[in-house]
Amino acid sequence: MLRQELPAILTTVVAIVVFLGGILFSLDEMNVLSEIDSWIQLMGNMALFLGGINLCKLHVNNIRKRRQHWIFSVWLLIVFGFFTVLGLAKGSQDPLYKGLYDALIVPVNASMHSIAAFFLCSAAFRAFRVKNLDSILLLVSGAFVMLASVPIGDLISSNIPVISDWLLNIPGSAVARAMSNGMFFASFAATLRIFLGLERRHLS
Amino acid sequence: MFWKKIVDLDPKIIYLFVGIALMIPVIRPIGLPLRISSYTQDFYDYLMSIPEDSIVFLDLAFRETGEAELGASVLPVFELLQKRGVKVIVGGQWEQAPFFMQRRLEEVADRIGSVYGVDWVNIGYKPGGTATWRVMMEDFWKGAAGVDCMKNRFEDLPLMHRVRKLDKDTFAAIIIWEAGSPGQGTWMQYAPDIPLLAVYMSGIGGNVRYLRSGQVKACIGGMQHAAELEKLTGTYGDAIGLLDAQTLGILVVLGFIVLGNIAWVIEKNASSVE
Repeated sequence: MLRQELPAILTTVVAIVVFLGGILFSLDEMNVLSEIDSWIQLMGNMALFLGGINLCKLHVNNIRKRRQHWIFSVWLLIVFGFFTVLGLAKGSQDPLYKGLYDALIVPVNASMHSIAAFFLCSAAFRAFRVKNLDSILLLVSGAFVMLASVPIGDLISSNIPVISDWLLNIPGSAVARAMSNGMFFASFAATLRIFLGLERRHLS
Repeated sequence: MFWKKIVDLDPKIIYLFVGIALMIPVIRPIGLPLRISSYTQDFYDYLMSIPEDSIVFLDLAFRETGEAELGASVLPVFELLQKRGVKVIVGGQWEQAPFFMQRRLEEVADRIGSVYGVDWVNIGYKPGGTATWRVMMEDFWKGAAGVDCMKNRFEDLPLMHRVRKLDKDTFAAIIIWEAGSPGQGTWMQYAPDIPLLAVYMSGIGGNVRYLRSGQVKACIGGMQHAAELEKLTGTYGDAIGLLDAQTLGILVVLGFIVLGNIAWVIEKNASSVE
């Protein structure tokens, strides 16, 4: 009851209140929605705290069971613990905390992302083969958009940015709109199932 | 045999060429001529049309991975607004950027004589997702927990006394640097009456639909537009130099794609003859 029914009932009740809040002025005047928002904000902070605990539990288990790459879990816990203690004790604007973050996390994360450029190039070399009309269209339109995104495109021909703009504005826009509408309806249907208590997998 | 080798080219050779292409312009910039695109011109014109002494919210919704492309345009926009006397509130739907951009913003502010708390404030990241921003729309101080990113109380920051609500009467515009979700959708859904400007990562791409619909008033994307913005504002930073590297990188990618296709077609024809 407590694990399944109560969260489902709470979800449905809150969903009804929020829905009615959107269409009834009286609820808006009673600040019901802003009160719910404050609760969501509070729960967001609690979720952050729970996320930290879950992360620790997961990696402690990895170490205890000597799972593959468990040594990285040790490293994660050391860094996690160090930054948590330092942040709580000195604050996020402490020179040591900020210095470590700026000197380590920022360049390491940026480097990890930059490596994708190499993999992308290698993958493009193998994937972009002109096997049929579809792949020719993909390759040609991709080449126009890529060239237009750097100054050399305009130097080669002033038509390249024009063609790229047309590709983005007309077919690209239409397809992106269609996809986002499709995604909206799909997520709306999924949310509705949760609101009505039909979908409970997230509670198990 | 040669073409077969090209078709089965070792990825390490491709990595080597890409590495060289990216490194050369960083060591010795080429200085390719830069034409100002209509997107950047419109974006710049919109920034110039924001009245002096009004307040703009900069939403730095990205993390370290987006620093090179998105961070490059934060500084020229910040500098331009501050020089024009537009007040700036910096915040972020993502945790990292308001934190690691603080130092770079401080450097710009020190150089141009902007005073923290009077001309600009960084409220930092506020957890809680869209609910937090909705609370700020009713009561900015409550939603932002009444402190900036350095735990200064809003009471002690003169600019914050003008910021009581996240609404169109307080903010002349919201400018978002977007690397994913959460991003511009928050402002489109909950603050559609505040003019929204957007800076996208790796080009505008499919986001041009929001410009066409009017949900975004002006937008730029990628390193090229950041470099164009630097040129327009006269604030020369990283973007113009890095754009040369991106140009050579793209040429190498296209070169390998063309070479790969030639090799693949020749190899296919040769094997069908056999």
